[in-house]
Amino acid sequence: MTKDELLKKLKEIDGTYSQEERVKLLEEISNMLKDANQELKDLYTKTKIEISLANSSR
Amino acid sequence: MGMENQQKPQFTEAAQGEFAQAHNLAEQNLSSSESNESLGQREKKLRGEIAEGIGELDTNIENIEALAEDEHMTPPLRERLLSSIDTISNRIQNKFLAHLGGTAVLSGIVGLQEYLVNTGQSVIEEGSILGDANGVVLAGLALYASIKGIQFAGYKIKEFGIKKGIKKGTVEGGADAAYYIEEEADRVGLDVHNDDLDVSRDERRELKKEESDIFRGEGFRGGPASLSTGYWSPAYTEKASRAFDRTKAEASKLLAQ
Repeated sequence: MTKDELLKKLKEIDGTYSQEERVKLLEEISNMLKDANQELKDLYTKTKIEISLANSSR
Repeated sequence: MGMENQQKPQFTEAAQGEFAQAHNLAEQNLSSSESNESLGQREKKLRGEIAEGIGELDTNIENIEALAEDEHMTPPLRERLLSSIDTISNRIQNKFLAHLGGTAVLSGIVGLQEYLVNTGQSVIEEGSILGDANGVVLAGLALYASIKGIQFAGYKIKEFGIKKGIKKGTVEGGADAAYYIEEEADRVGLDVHNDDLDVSRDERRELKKEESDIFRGEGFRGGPASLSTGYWSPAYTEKASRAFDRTKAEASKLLAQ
């Protein structure tokens, strides 16, 4: 599938949804990103603590 | 997204620009009361939130990747961290794309499997699965359908002659797709044949071996993907990553409209 075909397909898809449906989908994407970002932040914090603990026990 | 290659869901500058533009528009249009927010305003606001979320996503991933390089990081911790970020990254991109109008624009079979699991979809309608026609997506799609007994109503496999599983369809991807289908079919015990391709199976194997060697030369591991289990080699992760970047750019344009 070429880039142009893909773009056309995506536009067709967009056109098949009402604004209300698009808003719902965008809400889902937005919430998913928020959850993912929180998960990444938690992972960062948790790992930092684990590094500290691992090094303090050496 | 194999961490061996430091892959991450990084949006192109153009895509981020589109999102930023959408965000500015959203800001301008949100001067009215939130309680009276129209659907149009809500949509623009959401596009702005998504723009911010994606920017934050890149930052968070960069922070974790930097942490992985910390000199105090123990090998087991590093391995676990990279594995975690890989899982999260994959889930993000697959969900992100699966949310686009309910259509999966996939960069590979991993995304397809997650998409099917997440949506509970058992029938793939024509046109609902798009992808860079590199054969990986299509072959994986075809095989997944055959193995799981899913009705394969999407791409037609032109005279492909898979005797079990796949009902019909055309795989556009030529020898590349054929290679994956045949190799994976061997692995899972499916009986396949194709009499129409110009390139013989042995020749396809040889071509694929050369391709793998080239990828190895670039620092990637070669070898065929294990499509039915959802694993693919970093060589094809890199290949699909490029396709995925293009797809993301298109998706970003769509969202920014």
